[in-house]
Amino acid sequence: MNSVQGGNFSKNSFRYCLFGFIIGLGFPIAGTLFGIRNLQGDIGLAEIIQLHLSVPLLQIIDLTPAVLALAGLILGLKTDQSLNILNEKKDERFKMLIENAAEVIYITDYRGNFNYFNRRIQTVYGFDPAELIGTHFTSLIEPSMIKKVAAFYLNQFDKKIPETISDFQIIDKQGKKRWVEQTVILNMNNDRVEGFQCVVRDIDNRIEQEQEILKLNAQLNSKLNELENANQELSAFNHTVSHDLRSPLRGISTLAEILQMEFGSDLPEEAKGLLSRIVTSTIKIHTLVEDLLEFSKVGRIEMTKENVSMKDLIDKIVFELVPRDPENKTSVQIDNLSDCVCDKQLIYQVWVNFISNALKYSAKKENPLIRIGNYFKNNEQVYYIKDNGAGFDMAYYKKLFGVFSRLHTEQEFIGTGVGLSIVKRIVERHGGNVWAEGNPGIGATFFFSLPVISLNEKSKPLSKNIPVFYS
Amino acid sequence: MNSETDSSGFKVMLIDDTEVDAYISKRMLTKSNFSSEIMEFYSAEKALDYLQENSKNYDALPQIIFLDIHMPAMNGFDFLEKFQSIKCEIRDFCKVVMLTSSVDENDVQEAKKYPGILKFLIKPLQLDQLQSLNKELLATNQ
Repeated sequence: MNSVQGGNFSKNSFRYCLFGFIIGLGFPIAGTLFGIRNLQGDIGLAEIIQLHLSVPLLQIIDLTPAVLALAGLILGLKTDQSLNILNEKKDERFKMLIENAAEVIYITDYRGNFNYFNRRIQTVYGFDPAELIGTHFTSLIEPSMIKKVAAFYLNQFDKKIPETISDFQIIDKQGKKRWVEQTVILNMNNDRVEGFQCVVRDIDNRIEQEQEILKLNAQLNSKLNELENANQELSAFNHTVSHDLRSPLRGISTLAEILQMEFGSDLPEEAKGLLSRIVTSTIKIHTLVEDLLEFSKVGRIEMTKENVSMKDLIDKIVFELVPRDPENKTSVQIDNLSDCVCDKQLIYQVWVNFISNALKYSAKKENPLIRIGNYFKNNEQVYYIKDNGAGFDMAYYKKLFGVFSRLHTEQEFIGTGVGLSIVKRIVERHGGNVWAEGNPGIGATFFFSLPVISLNEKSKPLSKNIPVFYS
Repeated sequence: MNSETDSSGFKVMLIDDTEVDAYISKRMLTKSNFSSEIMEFYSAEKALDYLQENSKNYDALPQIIFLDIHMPAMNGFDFLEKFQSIKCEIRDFCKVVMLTSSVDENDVQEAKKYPGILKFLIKPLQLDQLQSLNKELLATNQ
């Protein structure tokens, strides 16, 4: 169909020139010469050799600059102009796209001097494109950043990095600093950098918001630190107090025991009674102090999470806590339980508390029944333990998990009121919740949830890896 | 210094600033026949002075030192530090039992730095603690 001369001109460039021909000249006559430019931007000349059913067949002629000048003469146009005409229609659409893009788009030569701006530069930064053409790209950059930004682009130029993204500040027409994110694509001609094609996104609001977020985060962190410190101090205080109470308490009870054992027989009945009350009271305070120490400990010790088989854990506790003699009336039913990622030691304590509570409060029943189960809800594993024991009145629910608060008297069931607060502390440290349902005389169900996490879950990077130039 | 003697048991040094605890410890030591003699000190400095003065007089040295950890001024660990600088024959002769109101893992770790520590006991001393310690000591001596 056509003959193509000169390796630089591909079929694509042929189509290109055909298009240009119809648009530029309107009608085809054999022998007409016109300028073409191929995709690499090389200038060439084509000749219509014949018409076949109104389709022009072209011969593409590779040209030296001298012949090109001649072609320009024949067409009566300067080479640039003739090319412009040929490409006008197609360019028009791209130009519209570029002109109306939301981003500022500009092109510079290889030295970094502006030679094109779309109209956004006017609406976003207030500059008339005409006043910037010919000036150097650094003239828009915030002065304190020029050195770093210029070095960055010099590096892109030197190493011929096809595309870069970076954040920096520019100064708009009103002199206001604005954060921008700039994508720069090298305009290459063979192995030579001819210029830069740049897309500038205004991110001033984003940076402002990011900085605001950073500020708020810093505030939050400092509050969190304060809180953590306060908590630690409180824990340390709790620990010290309980610790220091322990020794004199043991002193009192040991002294009372010595008195009881060695001089008990010589004492009058009333004195013996008084002495035994001293002993019981001391034992009670002692238990309380031990519980408080435990409570303070579960808040302080470091957690090590691992995959824990709840089934094995509970089997072990039930084996330890539930008597296995024929006298035992309590039946414990354990459903299928899902494994969970948690601190084994701490969750062990949770179950010990729950199971011993269930045993304690159902012990007075004819047929004590304890059921342990589990379900999955809202990405959390929920475990529960249900008993048919003494239960509790939901009216006092708020007191249930508080330190030292009890819903039963010492005469009914002994206890210090620390157990469930230990449970609550452990579960909350795992990011879960504890709750309960009770019915006096019928029984109680205690629930706790643990968020489902994966052990190898890695934290995702928060931001893209874009260089940000700060002044 | 107070001394109480008994026909059997170890020669014991008791270092504890808490009077009630010291009283109970002393009573338990006597009652369990663990000790034949108790040298009682309310401060670690004074106990150390005594050990230094008698470093060559083996008859005057205790076999077991019951040492309280938490004491004002020189505490149990300060005492152990100084005790290291006394001639090693005494150190080998006198074994130490640490007394504490509760066994703190940090204290246990700290104590591992020093040789010759037999064990940690929660004070005030109880009869059963002393009985089992006695058994252990007899077993190691045989």
